[in-house]
Amino acid sequence: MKMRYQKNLEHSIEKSYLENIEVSADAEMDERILGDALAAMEESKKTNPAMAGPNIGKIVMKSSITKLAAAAVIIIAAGIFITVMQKAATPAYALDQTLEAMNNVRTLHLFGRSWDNLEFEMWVKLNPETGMPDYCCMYRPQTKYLAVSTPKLSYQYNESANRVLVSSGKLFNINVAPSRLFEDLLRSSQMENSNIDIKIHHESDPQTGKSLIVVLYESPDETWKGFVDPETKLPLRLYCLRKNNRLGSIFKDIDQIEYDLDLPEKIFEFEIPEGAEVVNMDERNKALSDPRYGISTEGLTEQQAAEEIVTQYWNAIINMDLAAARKLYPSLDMNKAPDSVPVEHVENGKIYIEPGCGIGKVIPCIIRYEDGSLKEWKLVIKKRNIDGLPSCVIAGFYNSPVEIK
Amino acid sequence: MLEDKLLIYKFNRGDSNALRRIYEKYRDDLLKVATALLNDRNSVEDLLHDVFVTFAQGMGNFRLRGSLKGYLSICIANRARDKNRAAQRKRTVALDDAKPIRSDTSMPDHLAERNELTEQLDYAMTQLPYVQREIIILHLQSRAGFAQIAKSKGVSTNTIRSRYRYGLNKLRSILDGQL
Repeated sequence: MKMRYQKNLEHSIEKSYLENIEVSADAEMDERILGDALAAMEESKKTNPAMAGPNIGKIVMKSSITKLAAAAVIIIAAGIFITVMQKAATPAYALDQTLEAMNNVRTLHLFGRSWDNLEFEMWVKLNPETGMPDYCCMYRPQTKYLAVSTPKLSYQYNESANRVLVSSGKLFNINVAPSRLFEDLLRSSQMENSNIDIKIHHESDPQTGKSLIVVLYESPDETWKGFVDPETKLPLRLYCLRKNNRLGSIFKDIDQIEYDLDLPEKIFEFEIPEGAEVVNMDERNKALSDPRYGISTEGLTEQQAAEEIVTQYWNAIINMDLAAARKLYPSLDMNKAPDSVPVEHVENGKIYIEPGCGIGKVIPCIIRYEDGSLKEWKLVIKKRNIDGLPSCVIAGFYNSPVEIK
Repeated sequence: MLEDKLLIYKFNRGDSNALRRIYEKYRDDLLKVATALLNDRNSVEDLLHDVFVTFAQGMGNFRLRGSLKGYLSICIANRARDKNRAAQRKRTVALDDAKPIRSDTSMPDHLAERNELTEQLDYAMTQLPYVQREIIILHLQSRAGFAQIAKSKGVSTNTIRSRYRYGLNKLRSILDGQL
């Protein structure tokens, strides 16, 4: 059979036959089938020794934290606890054993929500030598967004758009430097005249009734409430009660974390779905080093340079001059229509280091939209020095914008 | 995709919500496969029931090879074949018994043509041997790979490919080159 005819026939079967098969499903049918299937499942649990009970080594943890990759969150958590234990002059075992317990962790499994209230699930495989995340995958069911990060290739898949972003190496917001992060946290808590306040007490876990170590960490910028399992010394739960400007935040809540579970099969393998648009991010990223993009920063401080480029960028966007905007932000998708129209660039924040964002520093910008709403965007600014000339370019956006009430 | 891997992982750990999600995710596709393969369309619901109950019984030990949708569809196809054999009857809708094609003058031509094509294909599919029809449905509706189908049947991938090709050839001859 000729190939073209075969394709036509296959297309006709799909469109004119399969799509026209009418199926009738109703609640009664669902109830009957699901009811019996769930009953069969319960029956299997009784005979399956693997379902006999929870593994003591698999600790569930609930928390609230930042908008970093989840692995980084755990590291932050460990850092905070360690700091807490030292400052509060609690027995050294809390510090050492929490550290030791964290050092022995090989895999993480997390559930939680980000500041924009999107749920996520994440799997992390840590490098046994360094404790750093080697492999990571995160799935956000509400937006059908999947990110798979591996040392060789990483993928970000937007199922709704059927688009895959492929890049070399790990995803930058997962490839964090825990030692640096840890040192920063430790240093800040040990500074003389530190205005960090730490309190430790015990509370009963509402879920299990078990008495847990509770650590309240308060600084001018943030307040954390953490729970530690007194037996395993592992962080059990963390709540971010307050966080000014949400600096360094990706995930707000981590509702559940499990340690050292067996990883699901092929969890870090990604197959490009049929018909998906594939975007080579390496090619896009090359533009970040292209002197035709960006602005000169000669004679400007870091803050001034960041403000200059984001001001030019937002003005270009507001004036619908996408060519000008793309000269500042080479990865700008000029075919994508904005969800709402920006009308005013209200103000810029201070440039800062976002832990886990390895490309550059981040500057927050507040934008007003035509419906009167305000949103805070975070733009990643990449500094460059090409042939001795300092310049910068917008590398991207750090996560989704946050609406300001 | 990844969601399926996560669902299977949770399912194997006894998460009833995972089973519920799998059911909701693939119910309609599986009903289509069952409807296309069963001679007795009244048994479609029972077929889906049997497949899901058996699937649930495998909780804790289920290992996914290939796509989950493909796997479940193959289960449907296997049971449909058994049911068809047991019933000892075939769906034999002759052209004379086929629903008349609507000829409302108000109907746009392309819709009328499409209905005609649907009727022709529906008839032609019933004329295919089950082994060929099954592979065409699994491949085009469930996106099951030839390798996954072949493995489930214990035959070579080339055998499945050949059956698929023979099936399309037969469809072509039945349709007499009308496509």
